[in-house]
Amino acid sequence: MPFKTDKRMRLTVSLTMISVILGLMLSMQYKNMRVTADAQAKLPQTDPKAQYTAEQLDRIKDENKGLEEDIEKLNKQLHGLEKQAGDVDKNLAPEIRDDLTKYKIMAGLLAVKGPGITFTVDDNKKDIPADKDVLLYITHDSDLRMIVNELLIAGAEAVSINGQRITTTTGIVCIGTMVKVNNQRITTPFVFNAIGDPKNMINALETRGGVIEVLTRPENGRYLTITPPKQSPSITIPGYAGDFNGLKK
Amino acid sequence: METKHKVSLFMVSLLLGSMLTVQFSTVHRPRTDTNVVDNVQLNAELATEKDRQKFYYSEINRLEDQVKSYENKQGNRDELVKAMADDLDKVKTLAGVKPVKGNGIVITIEDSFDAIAAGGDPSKAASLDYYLYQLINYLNGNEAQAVAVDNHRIVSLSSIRMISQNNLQVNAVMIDPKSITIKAVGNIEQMKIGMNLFPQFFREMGKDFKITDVTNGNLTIPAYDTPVEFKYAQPEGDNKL
Repeated sequence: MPFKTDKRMRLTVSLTMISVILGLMLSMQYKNMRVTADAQAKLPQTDPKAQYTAEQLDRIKDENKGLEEDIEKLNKQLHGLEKQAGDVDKNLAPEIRDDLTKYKIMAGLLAVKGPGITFTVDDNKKDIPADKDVLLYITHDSDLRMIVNELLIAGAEAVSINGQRITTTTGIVCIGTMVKVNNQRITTPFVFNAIGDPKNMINALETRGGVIEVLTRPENGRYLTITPPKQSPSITIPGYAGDFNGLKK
Repeated sequence: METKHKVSLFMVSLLLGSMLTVQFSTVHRPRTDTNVVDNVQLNAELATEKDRQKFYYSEINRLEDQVKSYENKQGNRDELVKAMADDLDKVKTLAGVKPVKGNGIVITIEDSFDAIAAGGDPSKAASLDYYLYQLINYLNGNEAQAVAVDNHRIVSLSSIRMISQNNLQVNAVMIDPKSITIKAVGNIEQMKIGMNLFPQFFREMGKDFKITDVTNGNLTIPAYDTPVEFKYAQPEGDNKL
């Protein structure tokens, strides 16, 4: 019996020790994590410099949006004058007028209207399982470019993403977590507008093994959300106001 | 040790173990905080927007002058034709239907024994089209002003498509996938930064990737030469093209 008590004592002591150590470790661990998490959460609000820059950036972006509208209006006015010139003077070489219109559409300078489709591409907003790569759930520049390529193969005549017209020199690139189209930042959800034969474009996107399957099916390893393309008799796509990477001086 | 003790010890360990696991998995989840702002990034964006604004102001002046000159010339046929022809010339350059000449880079992507010997797998070239249009995308995203793939000019309507292993099409015209030459006029340094990741992608397909600078101003990007016709898109406000 005394032998047994001794054994029980030893067991109790060691168990207590283990519990104490583990308890300490746990609380330290928890505190440590809380501190780092708090520090991370506080960082953005406590940098007044960044906040100032952000405000400036918002203001200049608003101004630029207004200027883009002015440029679009002037381009329309110019197009109207060119047409008028052709209508008034029948001897005025009509091919100049028609070529001007055609190549302005092709370059992306003029806002255009016509039948087409619209759809939205978005990141997967559901909780991402811990064993899966986050990158498979978010939209990449390459995904957007892939969709544009498919639309053009299907005969799209004009394409825009969040109002950014695809032009001769358009790049769709990620810089960090930002997606930039025509060097302008765009954010999710990505709204595609495309003018062209709606049936052709929808078939190309929705075909078996097509771009929607590739980007949204778990068996293909991707989990994006893409709304079914909707046909519309009249889609409007804005013109591009920028400098074509410096080609337009 | 008694079985009772063993069991209780086991239970305690189990409980602590699961507590630890829960603790770690909840706290260690990656933070999806999109509000983290970086002042360096903001400043870069601000500089871009300021440059853009400068360009927009000059563009508005130019367009206003053009509108005025068109209005003044409405009665004078010869002058009006000349003004429109001048404008057409500029618009053609922007559309890509006129050649562009300047400084830039030439990229060659060729099947290579060395790249295969180093572990490149030619069967991966099934996605050659994907990497080619990403490459062009990254040239354009890095200040390229004009790009051609095997002398087929890249324009707003350009697409690239691999129909079969030996049938790679640019602008719906077949090119040889074994040896591809891409020319790009634009900001040499910036375009090369944009190409950083690409040599590796092509080496993995068993292809060699080479970039040559052209700084004598003589790199010529040919014009897009397929006839263009818009059947669906028409200028907003027009009834008929």
